[in-house]
Amino acid sequence: MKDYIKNIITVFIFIFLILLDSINAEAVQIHGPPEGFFVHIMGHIFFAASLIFILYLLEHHPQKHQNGWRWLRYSFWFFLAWNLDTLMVHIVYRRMPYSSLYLPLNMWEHKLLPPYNLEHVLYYIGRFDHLLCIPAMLFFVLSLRSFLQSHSEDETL
Amino acid sequence: MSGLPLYPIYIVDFFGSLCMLVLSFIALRYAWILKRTHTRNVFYTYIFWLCMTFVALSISRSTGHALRGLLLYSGYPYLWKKLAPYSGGLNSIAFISAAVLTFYFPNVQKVMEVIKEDARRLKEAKEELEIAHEKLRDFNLRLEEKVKERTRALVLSEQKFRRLFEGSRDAIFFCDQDGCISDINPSGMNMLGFKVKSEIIGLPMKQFFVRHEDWEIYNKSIYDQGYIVDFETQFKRVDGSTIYLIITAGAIKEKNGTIIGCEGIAKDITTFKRMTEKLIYSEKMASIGQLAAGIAHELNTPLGIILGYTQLLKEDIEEQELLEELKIIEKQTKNCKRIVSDLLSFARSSERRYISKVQINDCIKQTVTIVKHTFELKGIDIVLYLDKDLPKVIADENKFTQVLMNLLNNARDAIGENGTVYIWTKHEGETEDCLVKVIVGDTGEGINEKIKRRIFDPFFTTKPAGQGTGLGLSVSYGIIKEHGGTIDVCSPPSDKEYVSRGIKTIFIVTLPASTSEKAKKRLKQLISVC
Repeated sequence: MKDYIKNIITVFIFIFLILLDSINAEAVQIHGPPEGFFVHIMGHIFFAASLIFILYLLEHHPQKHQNGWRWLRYSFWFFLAWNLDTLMVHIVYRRMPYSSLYLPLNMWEHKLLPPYNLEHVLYYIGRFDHLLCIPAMLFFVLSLRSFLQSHSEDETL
Repeated sequence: MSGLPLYPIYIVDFFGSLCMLVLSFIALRYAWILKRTHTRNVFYTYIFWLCMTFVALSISRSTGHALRGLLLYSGYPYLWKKLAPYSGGLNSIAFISAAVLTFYFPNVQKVMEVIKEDARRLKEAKEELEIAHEKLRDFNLRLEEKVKERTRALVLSEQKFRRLFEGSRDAIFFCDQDGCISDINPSGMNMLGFKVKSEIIGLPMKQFFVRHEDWEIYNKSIYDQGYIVDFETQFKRVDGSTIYLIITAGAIKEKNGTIIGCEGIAKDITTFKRMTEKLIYSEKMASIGQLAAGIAHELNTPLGIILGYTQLLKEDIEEQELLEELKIIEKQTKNCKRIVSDLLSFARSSERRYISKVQINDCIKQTVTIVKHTFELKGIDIVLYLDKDLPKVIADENKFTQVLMNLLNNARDAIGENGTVYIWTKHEGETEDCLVKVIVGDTGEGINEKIKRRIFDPFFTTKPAGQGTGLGLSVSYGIIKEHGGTIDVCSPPSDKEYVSRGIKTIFIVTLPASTSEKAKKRLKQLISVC
C-alpha cells in the first residue's frame, strides 16, 4: 500500500476518534451584532488596500499619461479618498454619543447637536461622501469612454 | 432646538446615490462593450467585473440613502430597519469583491502573460520548426538531386571505366589474395586463349608464367614494393603456345595496408618481339652478307688463277698419275668457285641479272615437273593450290626457280619418305600494294625453336657432312631480299588450313606484285644498276 494512502487513513482515524470524544457540537459558530460592523470596516480597509495596490501598479504603467489611464488613476484616487472618508465616518459615528444626534420621525428635523468637537466636525463633513465618490465614478466612466474611443489594444497593466 | 441640520447631507446622499446609480450603469455598458470587443484583454475583463461591483455598491448605497430617505419620510421607519442590514451587507460584499478582484487581477494578468509567453514561445518554436522543416525539405530535395547527380556521374564513370575495361586492346586483370584471377577483360581472355570468362576466373596466375622464376620475381615485387613496372615475361596460352607480355601491376591494399590482391595491365608484345628478332636477324644477315661478299670477291680471283693454271698444266703433263691429281685440284677448285658463287648470290653480288615480269604459277609448274619424279620415288606427293588470278612479279626467273628448288629440296629432306608437299600461291591487297605469296608446306617433323633461329645463317645445316653446304636457305634469303620480298618460316603453323593437313613447317615467300609501287621502284633501281 502506498504511503500517502496510509497517511490519509491515519488522519481519518484521528479525526474520528476526536469526534467520538467531543461533548458539544462545534460545527456552527454564532455571529454577534458587532461582527457586521467589523466586517464592514475590514471591507473598507481591504478595499483601500486594493486601491493603493492598483494605484501603485498604474503609477508604473508605461502609458499612464494617456487620457484613459490618467482618468483611471484619478478615479481610483477619488475612490481611495471616498473609502477613507467613509471609514472615518463609520468610526467617528460609533465613537459619538447617541445624544449628539437629534433624530425625530421627521427627517427634515434631524440635527447634530452641540457641543461640537473635532469628531462632530469630521462626522458632519465626512457625511458628504458623495462629493468624493461621484467624481470617482465620473472619472471612471470617462476613462472607459476614452478606452473605447481609442480602441486601445493595450493588454498590460 | 439648535444644531446642525442633517437634511443637506440627506439631499446630497439622495441625489448622489441616484447619480452613482446612473454612472455605474453607464460604466457597466462601456465595460461590457470593451470586454466584448476585446475578449482576450484581461484588463477589460477586470474592469467589467469591477463595474459589476460598482453597480452593486451603487444599488446598496441607493438603498441605503435614497430608499432610507423615502421610507423615513413616508413614515415607514420599521421597514428601513429591516432593509438596512441587507443594504449594509451588500455594501460590504461589494467592497470586498472589488478588493478581491483588484488583488486578483494582476495575478491573472501574470498568468495570462505566462500563457501568452508560452504561446509566443510555442508559436516561435512552431515557426522555427516550420523553417527547420522547410530547410529539411529543401535539404532533402537537394540531397535527392545530389544523389541523382552523383548516381548519374557514377553511372557515367562506371560506363567509362567499363568501356575502357571491355574495349582495351591490352589485358586488364584483377587477382585476389591467393593470386587467383578474379576478373579479366575480353582482351585478356583472348590473349590467353580463353573463350568463356568463367573458365579463367579462379585460375592461379602462377600457372600462366612459362618460367617459374618470373612468377617469383613478379610476386615478390608486388608484395615487397607494392607494384611492378614493365615486367617482361612469357605466358603460356591455353593451347600451349606462348606469348610475350609486358606487365605493369600494383597491389590492392586495405586501409591498414594489408594486401588483398593485385590489379594490372598486360600488353602482348609477341609481334613486336618477333619483329625485333627478325630485324636483328636481318641486320645480322646483312653483315654476314657483306663479309661473305668481301671474302668471295677476294677468293674468286686466286681461285680463277688456280683453275686456269691447273687446266694449263693438264694440257702440258702427260704422266697419268699427275694428270689424275690435277683433275682432283680442278674439281675442288670448281667446287670452291661454286661455293663462292653461292656466297655471292647470298650477298647480292653484282652478278648479271635477267629481270622480267614472271608468272610465278608457271615457274612453279616447271620446277615441280623437274623434281616430281625424284619425289615420287620417295613416296612424296606434291599438291598445288595455285591462284588463277595471281599477278606477275618482277623477278629473275632463274633465281626464283633456284629459291623454289631449295625450298622443295629442304621439304623433301624434312619428310624423308612418304609425305606431302603443298604449294600455295596467293595474292593480297589492292593493285598498288598487292603482294604475291608462295607458301611451301611439308608434313615432315617440323623445326625446333633453336634451329629455327639459325635456319637462314650461311653454312648452317642439320644434314650430315658432305650432303649440304648450308648455303641453300641463306642463298634463297639473299635472292628474295634482293627482289624486295621476304621469306619466313613457321613451324608449327598456327593456321587451321595448314594444321588440318598435317603440315608441320611452312615457308612463306612474299614478293611485291609487278603492279605495286614497291615493285615499280625496285624495277627502276635494278634497271639503273644494270
